[in-house]
This record gives sequence, structure tokens and C-alpha cells, in this order.
Amino acid sequence: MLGRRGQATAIGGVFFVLLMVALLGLIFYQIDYEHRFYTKSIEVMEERKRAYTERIKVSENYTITRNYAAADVATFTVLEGDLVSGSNSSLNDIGANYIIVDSDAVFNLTVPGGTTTTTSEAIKNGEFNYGLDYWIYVNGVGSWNTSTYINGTGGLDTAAIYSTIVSGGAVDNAKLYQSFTVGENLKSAELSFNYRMWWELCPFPLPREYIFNLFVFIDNNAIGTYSLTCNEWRSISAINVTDYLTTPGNHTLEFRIYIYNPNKRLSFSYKVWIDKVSLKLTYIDETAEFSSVVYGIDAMLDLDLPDYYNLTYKLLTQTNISLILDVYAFDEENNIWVLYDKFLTVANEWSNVTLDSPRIRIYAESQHPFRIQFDYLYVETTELNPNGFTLIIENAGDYDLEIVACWLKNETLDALRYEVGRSLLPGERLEVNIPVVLTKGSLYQVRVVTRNNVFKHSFTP
Amino acid sequence: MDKRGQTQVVETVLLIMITIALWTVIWTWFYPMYIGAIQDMGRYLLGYEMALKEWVIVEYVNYTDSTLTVFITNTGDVEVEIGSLYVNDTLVWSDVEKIKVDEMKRLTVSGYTLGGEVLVVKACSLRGNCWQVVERVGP
Repeated sequence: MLGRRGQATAIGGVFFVLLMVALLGLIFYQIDYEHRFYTKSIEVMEERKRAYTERIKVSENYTITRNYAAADVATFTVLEGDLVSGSNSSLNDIGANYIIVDSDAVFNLTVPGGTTTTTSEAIKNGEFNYGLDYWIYVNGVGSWNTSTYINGTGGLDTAAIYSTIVSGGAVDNAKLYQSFTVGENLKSAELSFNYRMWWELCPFPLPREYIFNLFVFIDNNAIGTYSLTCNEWRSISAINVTDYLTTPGNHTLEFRIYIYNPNKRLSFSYKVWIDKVSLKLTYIDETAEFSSVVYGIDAMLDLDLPDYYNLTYKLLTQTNISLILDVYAFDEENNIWVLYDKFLTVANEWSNVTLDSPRIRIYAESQHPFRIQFDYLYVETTELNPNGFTLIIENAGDYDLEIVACWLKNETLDALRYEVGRSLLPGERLEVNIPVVLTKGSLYQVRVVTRNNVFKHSFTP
Repeated sequence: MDKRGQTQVVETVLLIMITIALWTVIWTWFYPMYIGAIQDMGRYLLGYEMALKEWVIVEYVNYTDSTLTVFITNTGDVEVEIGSLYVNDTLVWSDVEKIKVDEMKRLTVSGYTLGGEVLVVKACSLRGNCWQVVERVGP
């Protein structure tokens, strides 16, 4: 009995082992399958990541640079001056022959002699803004000073002020004066000033016996006498003092104050303000007759060129004296010549006048006759390429990419596809020549197809 | 002794034979399922790999004379079968168009009425991948 049970156990064990081997095989295969599945997914995700980070820069070059012979495109015309030799073809090459233009007398300028007048101020610090600087003063019983007051427009002004208290039966004298110089050929001299004179009993006028006067002298010649104004400022304007200043040299303007108080018992307070002292000296200046001849050259250069984006040309030029060449460009829109540039030439040395306007005038003038020589005209234009254009594609990403194709389209053109099939490393550029003649001003749309993306770009030539 | 020994040998041989016979019956039933499961997994993996390797680029969409033309290039690693084309989520084309690797094909939808200038064009492969672009087209 025991032997049969052992046999059955052995057989069951064999069954179990075989079954387990089969099941384990299936499980291992499943694990391997899932590993491969996972690995493939990761690989594809990596590729997709590269696709999403693809970046390219697209640009285009649709221009070409062309040079023209001067004789084919340029017309040189002398508007002012004498054409000594040369023609348009003289500008074709360097050194062979020149266009030589001599200046003409464009106008004779004569300025007749005559007289003019100039006016100057002789009095310094007449506004007393710097205190009593430039003034000399002699105090009497009172003293000279400066003080501010409210002028007629509400602003503050500064004036010289003499304040004094004159006791009964006393006299007070004070002076304020300034020396000035008069030159030759004085035509006229006008004195003006403002003053105010006040005494303690204002607004009552001074009684007959009382004396309170302001005298104005030039070189001890009395010009005027002024008296009490109380609270009112008075303007003394345009006193003609020419007759006192006929001699050139130093003179003196003097303000003198004289006060007499006849009252034996009472003292009175007196004040005198002086401001805006001005002495205008007008001189006669005589000028001699002046005459001058002005010589000039006015030449026009007209370039007849096909449609272009950019124009540069150089005119090899020499002048026999140093000149300022004024270059005017023609403003087609406003039909006028506009000053474009100025060039200062070096005498007897060749220099290039570089310009970019197709129609110019060169104007020069001098007080001496002069000559300008034009040797060579170099003309360079940037124009639309008549044979097509180049599409420039740059891989601006971090991974290599493959350009599959390019598309081109505009408003009228059916979309054209150009097979490319080129790989680009990061930073590498690819130039694709597209034999389509572009229309200036038309909007073109370009598509660059890579293995993973389509990039769009547009431009207007 | 001799008779008991012969009997045990015969019993053992019989048991082995019965065991082998039973195992053979069980294996015959189990093996096809086992192999089938493994083959199914292999096929599924291959299909998944193929689907992963699919990639197309919708290069350009043109609309002229009521005809919508979609230019598709296969930039993937396997041949693609385009099965459907949707415009603005509406099925406009359904067929099978095989596109070999690096080949460009145009799918034409005739009689299409333009609803707006901006179209969302989606091309789907028979393996279930779809590629979508947004295009501005003119009538």
C-alpha cells in the first residue's frame, strides 16, 4: 500500500512540475513582452520629443548686386559753369579722361558804404540790483542805502534811498554819482530815471519856505530839478543830454539832494528814492563800400536705372581749390530739390563723393574762379534677382533634422513644391535655390516640411 | 518473491504508461492555447510597433473649384494606410490610400463646400493614428 501511494505522489509531482514549467514559461514570456512594449514606447516618446523641439530659421535672399557703366545709365549736365571737356562716357573708367568744368561768375555783389547806429548803456547798475556798486555817494545828515519797493506790476524792485532827519533851521546835502565814458561819433544821449521824494508830513505839500530838491547834473551842468512826490513814483524819460556829452572821454552823472528846514523847533524826516537810471548813448558807425564776385558751378547728374532696392554710387571728383560741394537730391514726390549733403574737398586731391539718390545737383561757389574735374562714376545697385531666389534654412534646434520639401505660394501663384531631402545638423544652414521669379510687393508664403513638422514663413520682396 | 517482483514491475510500467497518456491528453489540450496566447501577444506587439513607427505630415491643403486637396507625406518608418479624412470634425473622405515611406500623395475631396476659411484637417490611418493641422484656405 505504501509503495502505491509513493508512486501516485511521484506521478502527481511530475504533473505539477510540468504544469509549473509551462505556466512559468508563459509568465516569463509575458514579462518579456511587456518589457519590449515599454522599451518601444520609450523610444518613440524620445523621437516625438525631438520632433516637438525642432526649430528652424527661414530667411530668403532675392536680391543681386549689379554694376553699371556710367555711359549706360548716367547723364551729366552742366547748368552753371563752362564745360571745358568730357562727356558721360568720360566717367566710365579711372584716369582716361575727365569731365572738366570751370566756374562762371554767378553774381557780382556790391554793398554800398553807409552809416549805421549802435546804442549802448553808459550807466552801470542803474537798477541798483547790486546795491550801490559802481556808484559813489556822499552822505549828508542822513545816509545812502538801497531798499526794495513794490513796483507798478506788483513785483519787487530795488532802488537807492537817501534817508535823513533834518532838524529845525538846518540844511542837508547829499550826492550820488557815477562816472562814465563817451566814445567817438556820439549821435545822441538820452537820460532817464525814476524817483520818489517824501517828507514826514506827506501828503501835505511843502510850505513855501521849505526846500526839498533833487538836482541832476552832468559834469556840473544842471539837467533838471525835481521836488516832492510823496507816495508817487515819477518817471523821467528821454531827456536829451547830447549837448553835454559832445567831448569823448569821461563824464559824470550826479544826483544832488538839497534840504532846508526853516522850522526853528521841529525836525522832519525826508526820503529820496532813485531807480532805473539809464543813459543811452547812440553812436554813428560808418561802413565802407564792399564788392565781391561770386563764382559758381551747378552740375546735374541723372541716373536712369531699373527698379532697385538700394543704390550706391561714387563720383570721383577733384577741385583745384578747397570747396564746399552742396549736393541736392530731387524729391520726386514734392517736385523739388532738397539739400542732401555737403562735402568739403581738399584742393588738388581726388576724393569720392558717395551718394544714393539717382538724380542730384552738385553746387559749389567761391570768391575765386575754380575748376572741378569728374573722373569716374561707380554705380552699384541691389535689385530683384530675375532668375529666382534662395531660401535659407538654418537648423536652430538641438537635434539634427531632415528637410523633406519646401512649398512656395503667393496670391496668384499655384502652390509649388520643391523636394529637398537633406539632413541638417544643429546650426547648419541649407540654401535652396528656387527658380521662381518673384513679383515685387507680392506676399509670398513659404512652407518648410521636415520629417516631423511644417514650418511657415512669409516675405514680401 | 519472483511473482511479487514481476507484479510490481508491471504495475510500475502500467502507471508510467497511464501517466504519459494522461499528460499527452492534457498537453494536447493546453499547448494550442499556450502557443496561441504567445502568438497573439507577438502580433499585438508587432502591430503596436508598426503603429508607433507611423508618421505622416500634412504638408499643404488647397481648395480650388469646390475641390479640397490634402497633400500628405509619409515621413515615418513604415507604410501608412490612410483610412479617413476629417474636416472640422466631419468625415469628408473614407477609403484606403497606401502611402509608402517618403512618398507624398494627394487626397482629393470633390464637391466640398467651404464653410469657412480656417479648416481643421485630420487624417487618420487604419492603425488608429491621426494627424491634425489647422489651415487657412481661400475659395
